[in-house]
Amino acid sequence: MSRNLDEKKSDYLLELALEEQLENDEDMRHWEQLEQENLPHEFSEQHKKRMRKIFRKAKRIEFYKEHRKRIVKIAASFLVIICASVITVTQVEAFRMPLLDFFYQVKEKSTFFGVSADSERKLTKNFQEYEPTYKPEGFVVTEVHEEEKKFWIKYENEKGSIYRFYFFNEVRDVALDTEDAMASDVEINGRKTSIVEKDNETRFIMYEENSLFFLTGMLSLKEAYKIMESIP
Amino acid sequence: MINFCDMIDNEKAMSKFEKIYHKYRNTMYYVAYSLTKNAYDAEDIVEDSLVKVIEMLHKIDEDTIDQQRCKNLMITIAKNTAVDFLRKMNHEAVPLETIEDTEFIPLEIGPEEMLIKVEDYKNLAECINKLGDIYKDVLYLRIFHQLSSKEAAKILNVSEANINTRLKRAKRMLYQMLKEYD
Repeated sequence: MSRNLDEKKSDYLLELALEEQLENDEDMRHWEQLEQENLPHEFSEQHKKRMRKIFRKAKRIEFYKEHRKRIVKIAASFLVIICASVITVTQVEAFRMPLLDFFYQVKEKSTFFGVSADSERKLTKNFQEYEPTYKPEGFVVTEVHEEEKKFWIKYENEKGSIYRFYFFNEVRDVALDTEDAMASDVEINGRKTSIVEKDNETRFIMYEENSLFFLTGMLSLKEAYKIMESIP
Repeated sequence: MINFCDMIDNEKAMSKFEKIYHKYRNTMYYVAYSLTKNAYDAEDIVEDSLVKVIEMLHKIDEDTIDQQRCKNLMITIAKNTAVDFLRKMNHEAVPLETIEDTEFIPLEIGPEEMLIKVEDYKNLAECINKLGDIYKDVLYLRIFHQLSSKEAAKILNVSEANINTRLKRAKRMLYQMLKEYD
């Protein structure tokens, strides 16, 4: 038997013994007894406040750990597509000029977008407190629509990717199509949030008391998460 | 089609971390309180301990949260965080860490002899019980909870090299004790 296998066997025996020992461990008994002898501790308000921050940190880490493989896969896919495009452009003479023209036009378009004072808030004072403060790089606000109890904002980037952010002041029954979709539930800034990814679109639906925030569009999970997290 | 409103209302909502918090906050608090004798410090220690827990959440199986295994990990983290807190509070000089000496146990014990055999098992738990806290903690963190040296080092606030040394030393001590039963 190899040394490595012997060592594993030895460690396994040790693990079993540790489990057995734990059942009779005096220290463990002492701490358990201490807890049983006392009433449950009433934690202070400061502690609860600090714990909310720790919960958010834990959520973020749990979320990234859960979706890390997907995010890496998506990033790798994009990299392959970009590399393939570059190779095509540089190798196929017939495509080179039209494609270069296309990128040139897109670049011109972005200059146009850049003119708008995008750092300013786009909503009236009624809704400003609900406007996300984070916007993925390259995206600008192209439409804003406000009503008495709702608003939505449309964002676009120079590549033609679009996403919309909705706010409803009264919770309504919202149904999302989750057929063949990746769906999960998380908590963002203490608000319950459902995430659905389908057909290259990411949708986040977030609740706060009687209000509802809804994000939909061609965004990476990471960016969409950041947007929702930036809602004050 | 799933109606998300219904889904959110009915869902379990609590994350793995929240479950751990609600299950063990009192245990951790009383561990910290028994060492510090101060309610505010004990709450601070619970928070610091939980921040450490976040880093190793992926090593905790959700199904084991209610088990002694998880409780032991939470107690170990809280206890060591409290000890560290007290050391800082008392302004104890923290010496430049030196790697602990591994060689105080006779060198004639070769690594292959330190392996535990099936026939030794019946006395093993008793021998573990006789080990000092610092060795027991390392054995639990590295072997029982399957944490890496780095993760164990964060909990015990020592270097990775010291974790490895303590583990080696704990195994040697066990071997010595088991030999006495022969």
